[in-house]
Amino acid sequence: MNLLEARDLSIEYLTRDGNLKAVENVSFSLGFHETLGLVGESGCGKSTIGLSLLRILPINARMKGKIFYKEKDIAILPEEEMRSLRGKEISMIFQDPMTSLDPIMRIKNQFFETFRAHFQKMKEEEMIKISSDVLKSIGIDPSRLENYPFEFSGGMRQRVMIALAIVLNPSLLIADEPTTSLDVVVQLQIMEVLKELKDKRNMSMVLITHDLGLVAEIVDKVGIMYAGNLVEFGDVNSIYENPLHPYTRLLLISIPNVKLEDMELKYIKGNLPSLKSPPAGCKFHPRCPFVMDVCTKEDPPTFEINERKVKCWLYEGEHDESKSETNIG
Amino acid sequence: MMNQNQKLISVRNLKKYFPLKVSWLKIFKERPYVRAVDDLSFEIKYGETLGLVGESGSGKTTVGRTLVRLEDPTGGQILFEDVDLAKLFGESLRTKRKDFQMIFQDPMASLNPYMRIGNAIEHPLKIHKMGNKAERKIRVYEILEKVGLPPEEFYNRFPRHLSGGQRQRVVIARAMVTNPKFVVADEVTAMLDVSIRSQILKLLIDMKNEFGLTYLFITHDLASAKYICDKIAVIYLGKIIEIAKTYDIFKEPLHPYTKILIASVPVPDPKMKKKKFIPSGEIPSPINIPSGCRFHPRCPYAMEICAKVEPELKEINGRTVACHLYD
Repeated sequence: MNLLEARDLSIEYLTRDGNLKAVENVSFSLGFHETLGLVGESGCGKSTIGLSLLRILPINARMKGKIFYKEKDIAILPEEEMRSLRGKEISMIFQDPMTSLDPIMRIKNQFFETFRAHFQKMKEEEMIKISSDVLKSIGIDPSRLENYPFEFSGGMRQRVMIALAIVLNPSLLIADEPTTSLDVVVQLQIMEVLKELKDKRNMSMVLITHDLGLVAEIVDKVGIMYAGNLVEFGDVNSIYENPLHPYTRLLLISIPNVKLEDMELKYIKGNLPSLKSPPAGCKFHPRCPFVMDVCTKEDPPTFEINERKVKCWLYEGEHDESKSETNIG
Repeated sequence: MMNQNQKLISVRNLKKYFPLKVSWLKIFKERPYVRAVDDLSFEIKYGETLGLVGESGSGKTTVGRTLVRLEDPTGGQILFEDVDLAKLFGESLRTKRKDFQMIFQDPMASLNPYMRIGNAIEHPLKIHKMGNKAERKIRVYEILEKVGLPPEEFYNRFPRHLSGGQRQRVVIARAMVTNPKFVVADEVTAMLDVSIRSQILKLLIDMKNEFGLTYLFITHDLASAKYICDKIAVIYLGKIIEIAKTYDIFKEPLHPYTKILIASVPVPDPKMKKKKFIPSGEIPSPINIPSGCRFHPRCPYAMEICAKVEPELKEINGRTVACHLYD
């Protein structure tokens, strides 16, 4: 049984000048105590997927497909049940901690709010005790429960956000660009906190980011997204060692590094496509160095190669071979 | 272009303190200050790119803003060619401004949302009364072409029609349109996606080679600095703690803080799960700067002397570093 499974998930935003396909036919699964990295550039639909897992999409969003969480379909769950999942079973941390914390509420009260949403009769001492323990485990002195968000630095605020998200011990934590507004040293500290959560609390995580370098150390599985499509999916080692999709390859080599032998600046030519009028065929074809005739005409299906998935015409032939192999095996 | 070895900018003992608000009852006591830039000296030669690298709160942006005189320095000199910018004011400063420009981090916040791209880029030319209407338009077309935005398509568009990377190109075009000698680029790639980030860095390098520009490249990301900078100065709490050629910094970082910054850059390799050197704590407040070496409370190699004596930035075996480890 998987903890989380998305099947043919499609999400559209209705806008005044046409529908915007943010996510198209995305399927992935995540086991218990596993971490998934959803990686892609702005506008690829990764945050939309994150929001859909909690069913907190904006009202102009239309969702199709299924999302199973512990074998319950989140997409059709009654709102009442969904509310009992949020924060307790599945919780989320966002990119900018300043806009996600209530600026005029003491940290303490923000914790109380979370508790009271699920356990109305909980005593204050108990709430303080649990919150203190969580804060301590994440490297914040419990005395700071009395403080307001503005009294914390950016890194500390993100720690408070994480503490709030995990205080009810959820099974699944969704982290949407948790370190993007922070600088390198603090980023490393926050990643270390997340890694500890994964190892010590056995939490499953979906880490949403644009930085392939950042998630390498922490995730088990990686999904690469481009313009609403999941273009590659597989376990972390195979993706970094042998990226299949041209986009994944280009993303990997375009990460700035600190190696001295590598002084040439590499990048992906061109811009991201518009989601309102995406290019025909494969959406990556205008930027792809391996573009073929078929790519400009037909959208590639997702091929499965040795438990990896890749949405690219380059792997059309290999698909059949691997399938026969798995049949024999 | 002038001789490569001549200095374009030389900053001496630059200070920028921001006074804190205090109750009038305490007005006779010593006034507390945020010491954002605290006695900083460096030079940039013609055609050189100096990277100023540090964490948020290190004072790196204040240095940039003070250099282009968006802030008035509290003390020190900013020699630009032979003119001390710190002493200029009013009209003489305004006419000088076309020689030094600044590019900011957030391209959406630095473009007027109601101004068409063409007008936004033309604006500096108008302010400095450069050329007539037709000449200005030709110049804007030229610069749009240079930054990779086809002028016919972009001249009449609004910032909201553009992606983040395209907006940053507009901001770069606007900074370059007056043909400046010196450009301060403040975290220009921080808000951009990885694949766009390298494109913008490449553009900055191309512009520099073409126009013979000199840059101060401000960033918290040493990895980006590697590709564009000739020299790197690492700044911590308003002071430069190490300055060296880019190659030397990456080959052998001397200051413990520089080592930490380099080790903090994520490595895209899942097999690198080794325990990294993770610094404890965060940058302290520039109101209460620690005694002795500013970095000693976080330094893994802190010695007794570090808490007492502030290390001077000095030259040791051809390298410049401020750390007691090398005394």
